[in-house]
Amino acid sequence: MLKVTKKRFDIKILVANSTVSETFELEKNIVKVHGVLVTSDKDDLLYYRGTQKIEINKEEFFPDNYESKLLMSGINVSPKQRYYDLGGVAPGNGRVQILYKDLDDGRTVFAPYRVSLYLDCEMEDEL
Amino acid sequence: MTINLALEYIPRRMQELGYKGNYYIRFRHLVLQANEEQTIDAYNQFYYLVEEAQNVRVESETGIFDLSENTTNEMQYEHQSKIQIKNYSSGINHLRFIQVIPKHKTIIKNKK
Amino acid sequence: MMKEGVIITKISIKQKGERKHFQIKLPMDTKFIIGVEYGGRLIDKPETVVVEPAPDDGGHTPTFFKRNQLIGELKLQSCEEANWFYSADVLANDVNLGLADFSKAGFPVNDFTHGNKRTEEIVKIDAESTIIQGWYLDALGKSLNADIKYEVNVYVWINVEE
Repeated sequence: MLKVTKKRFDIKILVANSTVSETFELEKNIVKVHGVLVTSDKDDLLYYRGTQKIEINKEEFFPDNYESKLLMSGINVSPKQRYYDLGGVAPGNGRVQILYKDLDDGRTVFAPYRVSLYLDCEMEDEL
Repeated sequence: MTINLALEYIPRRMQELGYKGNYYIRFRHLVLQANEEQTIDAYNQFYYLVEEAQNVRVESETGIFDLSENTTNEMQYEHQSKIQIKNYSSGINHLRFIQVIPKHKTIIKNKK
Repeated sequence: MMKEGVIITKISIKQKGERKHFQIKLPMDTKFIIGVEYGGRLIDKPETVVVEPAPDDGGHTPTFFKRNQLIGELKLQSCEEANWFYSADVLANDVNLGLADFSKAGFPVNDFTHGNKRTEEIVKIDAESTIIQGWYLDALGKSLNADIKYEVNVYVWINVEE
């Protein structure tokens, strides 16, 4: 039986103007990835300073320098519409890579912050 | 966790999670250098901390094991996903785990 | 449709006689392991390590068979079968490429000019194994009685069904 589930992966940005790259692995029973979304504990820093590349199973869905503001959803967006629809991606080897870049923008003051990548997935309930 | 407890616990836990008998089991005894920090990729695996573990911190998505940590109400022995290990000792330290590896066979056939 | 890929594992050696145990995780969509090969590089300054024999072969005749420097031993085991499925002596280069070469052409012999093209060793291991256990034992540091820093890369070729 297929069930909808959300996965969250966190990365920490500790140094200004740094690039943080991390690879996460989805559970074996995840059959499709439907959507993505990014959030942070310091939204303003994510909005003004962040860009990221996102790859699933080595397939690039968002290239380098794709602004984080384009993957953020505000509270005025209906909860069911917040995820960016990828159209149902097969996870392949299940590896999700995010390459996040933090850049000074002149308006914000850097402080270490967390960036979370959320994935809207479909999983097989029984093995 | 003693090894005996782990060996009783693991089969029931795997049954609970639906893996039944489709997993491999390995005993891992890590040797940590002074103040060494290590990250273990344990996605889709389980690491059970067994025997004594002093002066060490084991942190993962499922919880923390650190006898010097006082901001948590429970210690976690079952670790998954990314495991961060830190040796607090300024000498060699030892850490023992039982590693449980669910087989790839448990991938659903209709994944495509 | 089958796609091929390679998993690269780096083994870092710092002490003489060091034994390194490692595990290689196979991606979820792997069907088989189809080949294995190795490579490596020295991290310490080359002057501190005498691995290459002197270009002048010390007056030996061209038919003198020289000993190669053993860097270490590498073994790989799958979870499915007992015993190792791959076992190799890691060598830096082949010092006997100029064996029985009487030409005295003045053309220095080395792996890039006279060696065989290196290809992977063919194996067939079911990826059902999920992880591969590996073991590496240093011989270079031990034979020179010094802590030499180097890296050995293990390349595991896999095929993946699309």
